[in-house]
Amino acid sequence: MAHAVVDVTARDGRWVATIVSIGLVGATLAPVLRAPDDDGFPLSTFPMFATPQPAQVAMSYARGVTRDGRVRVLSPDHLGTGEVLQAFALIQRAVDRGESARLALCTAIAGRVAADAADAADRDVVEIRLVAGMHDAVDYLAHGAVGREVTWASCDVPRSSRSR
Amino acid sequence: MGELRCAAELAQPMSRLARWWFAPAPPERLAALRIAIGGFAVLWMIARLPEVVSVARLPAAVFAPVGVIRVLGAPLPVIAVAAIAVATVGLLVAFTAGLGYRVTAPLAAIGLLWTLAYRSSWGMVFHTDNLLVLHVIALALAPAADAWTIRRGAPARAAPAAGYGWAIKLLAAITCAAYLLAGIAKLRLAGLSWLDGGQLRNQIAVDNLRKALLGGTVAPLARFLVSHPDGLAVCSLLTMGIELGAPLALLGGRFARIWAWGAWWFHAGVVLAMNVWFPYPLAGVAFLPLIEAEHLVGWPARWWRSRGMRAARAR
Repeated sequence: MAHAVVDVTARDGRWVATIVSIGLVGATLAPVLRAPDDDGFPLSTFPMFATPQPAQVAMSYARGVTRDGRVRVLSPDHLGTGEVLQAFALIQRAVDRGESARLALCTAIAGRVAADAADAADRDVVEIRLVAGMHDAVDYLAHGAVGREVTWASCDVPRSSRSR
Repeated sequence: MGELRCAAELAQPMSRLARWWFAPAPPERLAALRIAIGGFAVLWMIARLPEVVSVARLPAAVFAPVGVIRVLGAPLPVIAVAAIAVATVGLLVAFTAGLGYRVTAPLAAIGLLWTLAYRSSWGMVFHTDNLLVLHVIALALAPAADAWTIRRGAPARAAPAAGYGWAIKLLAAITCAAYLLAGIAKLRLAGLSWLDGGQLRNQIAVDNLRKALLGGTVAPLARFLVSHPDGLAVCSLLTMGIELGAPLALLGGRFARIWAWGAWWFHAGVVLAMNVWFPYPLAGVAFLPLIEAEHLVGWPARWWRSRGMRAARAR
């Protein structure tokens, strides 16, 4: 009788383990049934580096401009995130939403630049520009060739009289 | 009669599959995975805390919930996000130590899933986190605290009926499934043209252009690879081989070790070419289910004990 109880217990234990295993492996593989760019978390199609990518790229980004007209690359922290791709997504969203969203983002970036007392490199930035650029990525990296740029929005960096 | 023969023929490979899946393994191996994966999760969560709070401060207009976060109609207050993240760190510490495992492990898995899904709900899904979350969920459903826990005076547990091997196979299968899906996604989105090196060159160029324009760091080999693309076709083939060949790692032994090293070198190459870091595989933790992890994870404790024994003999 005890042997039969052990057998039943062993069978039940394996059934539970089998269901958990099939469930989790199945859930991990299930995204293959979705469109490959239909991403999710944590169940993903893992489409990293998969989308066909032309070398010619149109993208928007933020620039800091100093009093004497020099242009600075800003850090993702000035957009409220430490991640480059998230900064990219934030700017693209604002650009897609129209003029008021672009100006709101520009103003938010300007506020962060002004408040970033620790970053001496940006203390002379007086203006923020949201820019759309069309670049050949291969030429840019290989030869430093900058493509055409157009300004979406611009705003002043609020500075106290002490910080000027 | 034909149906009976068919059922009998199906039963044989199913029985072989079950024997393989439930092949015995020591509880220390599963416990070593709990410690390594849980320990990584603790460090990862602590490192991500400032960023989790930072994205929680983004405007509601950019909130784009994914996964379980879809239950929310609007972002949570920042204090709630921070509280959940901090509580998750505490639960993960208990998970790693094997304390109150039946309660802390599922709660740690839920907290980790929630916090990292929330982090990915602001316009960008972070693929660095998927495998870690899936592994912690799997461990939370497994008897991973039957060995190597901080539990003084507790009686030893009887081995579970299903053993421990299945849970280790499950972790390994999840790792392999993730890489297989990545390879399939490339073929579905770009087709065989992904293999000629041209696509890879453009990916490297565009990714680094983004970094250059948005304040990130351009990868150390990016400019060289973009200017000298001849070897990129080989890199593309190797990448596809590693991703589509991932299920071979489940054969174990030498296959598993070769594949794990190949996948690790793939990630090292991605750092050098694109400055894109996948810390979980780069730390080797993602591949531990494919090897006998108890020898690696238990080494510091064995070394410490052997020092004590040598000192006692010397006295």
